[in-house]
Amino acid sequence: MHLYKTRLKCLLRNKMLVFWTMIFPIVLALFFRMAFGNLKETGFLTTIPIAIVEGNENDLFTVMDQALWNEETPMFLITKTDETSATLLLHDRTVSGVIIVSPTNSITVQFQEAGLNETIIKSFLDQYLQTTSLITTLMVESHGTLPLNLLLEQLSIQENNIEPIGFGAENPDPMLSYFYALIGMALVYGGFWGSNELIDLQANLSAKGMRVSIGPTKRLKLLLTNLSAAYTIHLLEILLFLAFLVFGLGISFGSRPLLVILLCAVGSFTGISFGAFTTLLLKRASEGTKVAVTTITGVFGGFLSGMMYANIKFWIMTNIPILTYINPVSPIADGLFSLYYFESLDRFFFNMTILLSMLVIFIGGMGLLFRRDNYESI
Amino acid sequence: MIVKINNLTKTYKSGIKALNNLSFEVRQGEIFGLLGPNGSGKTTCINCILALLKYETGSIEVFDQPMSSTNYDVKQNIGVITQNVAVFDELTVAENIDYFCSLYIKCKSLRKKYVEEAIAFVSLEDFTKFYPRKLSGGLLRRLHIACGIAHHPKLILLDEPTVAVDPQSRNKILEGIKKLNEQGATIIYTSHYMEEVEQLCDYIIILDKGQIVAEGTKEDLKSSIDLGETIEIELKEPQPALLSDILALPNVVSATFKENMLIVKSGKGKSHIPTVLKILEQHQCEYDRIFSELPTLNDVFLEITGKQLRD
Repeated sequence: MHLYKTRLKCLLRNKMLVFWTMIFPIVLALFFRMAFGNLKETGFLTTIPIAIVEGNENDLFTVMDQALWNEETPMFLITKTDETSATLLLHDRTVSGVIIVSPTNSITVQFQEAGLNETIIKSFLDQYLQTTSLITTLMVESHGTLPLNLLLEQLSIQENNIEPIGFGAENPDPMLSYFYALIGMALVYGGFWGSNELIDLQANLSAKGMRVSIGPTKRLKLLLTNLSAAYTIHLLEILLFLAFLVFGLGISFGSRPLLVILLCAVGSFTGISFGAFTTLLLKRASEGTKVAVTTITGVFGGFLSGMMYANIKFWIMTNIPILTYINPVSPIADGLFSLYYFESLDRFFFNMTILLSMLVIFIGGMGLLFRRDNYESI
Repeated sequence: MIVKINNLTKTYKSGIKALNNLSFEVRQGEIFGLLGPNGSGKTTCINCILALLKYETGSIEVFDQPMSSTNYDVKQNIGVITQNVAVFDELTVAENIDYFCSLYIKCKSLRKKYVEEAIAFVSLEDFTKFYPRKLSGGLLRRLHIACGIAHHPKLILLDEPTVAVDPQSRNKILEGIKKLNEQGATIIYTSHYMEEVEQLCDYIIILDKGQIVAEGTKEDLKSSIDLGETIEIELKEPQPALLSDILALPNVVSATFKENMLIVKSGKGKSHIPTVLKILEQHQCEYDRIFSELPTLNDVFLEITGKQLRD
């Protein structure tokens, strides 16, 4: 406990790291607020134009036609047409997507590009298909004995299907993507703490590490103590940052704060582990290089997750999906995005799975590289 | 035996053989000196003793137990003053000593006592709340030493502790080391400063290219070479004709000029000062100052290896 407390003291007094891991994201958030503050007023709630080609009668048209952003704004502006005209409309970019209902009632969707509109259409359809499939299965398996009204009520779908299915956001806001990616960056910046803690522990990385290594305290104990201290500080910083975003800048995270905190808690530990792992991996590199790795991963990862240009995220998801799996900012930013926009937790858990996988890889790698306690050279 | 090293060989990946079949023993209560030029293997040897470095062959025993990185009982009784200062900039003087001491001593009250003793030992009482960046180089070194000895180790390894230290702090450090030894600690002291090793150490080994080139007490080492005395005389005007007369004296090994300075080296035996001065008078050569120096460890090293300790 004494070692833990001293590490906390040591870390809290490291002004440089406190700046980069807390003050810098706050300053960026303020900057974003000033720069993008009026985005919402400039038309995010634009109705999305789509074309529907109905090969068979289907209630999808009704559902989409009656879906609303809010009391005044419908989500979709639907053009019912044939397949050729729909394709032309798509090529002209008159519509963002074409939904084709085949004579066998199977539903496909076509897009011309990747963007927020396309993501919304896709998510809406996914949720619709999932829900209808579930209802059908339950009705078939119960041989029609289940009360349909009760079933729909339990599935949070109103009888007349006029509510948007699956969208949890009461108030969609295009600015949020920027802040969610910024949080992702701040969480990856936990890598600075992780790196600092490993440098202070490893005999081949610093004189302090050498001094600590030759003491009789077990290295695993020291590692856990140091990482716990780093985690405490970083999580605290992130919670303060979230509080600042919510109460200071009025950024919304939806209606599931516990899941937001859970995501940030996992993200913080992933960030710290990332820094610790890369520090061990790049043992020969200078301290500047180690810092640069975390900085670039945070900033560039943030950029790819929509920190500077929101639509890049959707472009990446469509064209280079592998980046989603290797960019640690991505699952955090998209996890927060999904918590805000989607009622379903599928996408959130998908992102959590990616994040936890990264965490396992970083911790595993760190364990392999750290367990060595004497060296070829120092 | 406090430390026993047998046939230790360590080769770095670059191919440099840092230690070559090194063997020595350090007895309890001794100040043991490892002297050698930069790159002779002193620090490698210390790091092997501390189980920080892997080595190909040989064995190391500390307190009669095989040394390994997980031999915590042995580590508990070792204190180390590394070559580079290793303290936390974010902790005060007292907090730094307390942190490093806490790696060894869990009992809070005992640790408090030890920390206070260590602060007093290095005379940092007036600086306990200072952060390291506010300390001068000498004070910083003293803090570094306090961090290494606060837990009352029985064996202290000091790796060039006086590098880049002002003379005043250096004297304080050397006095402190003597005091630690008087209090019962066995000391292994590495340096390339022969004066320090001469002043401090009971037993000395001289390393070169990872091998022991000489060992013994300082008296043993000095008596092992032929050189007896080095006389340096500052002349008003050097006269080359002097040299042949001086070299003709029995037992004179060499006579040279270095600018205005006449340097005469002789073998063991009586001092040549009177005879050399007599020759100067014969040549009516005026002189100012005369220096006479008995052999140093540098002379020992020079005679054995043909190079200076500080090459």
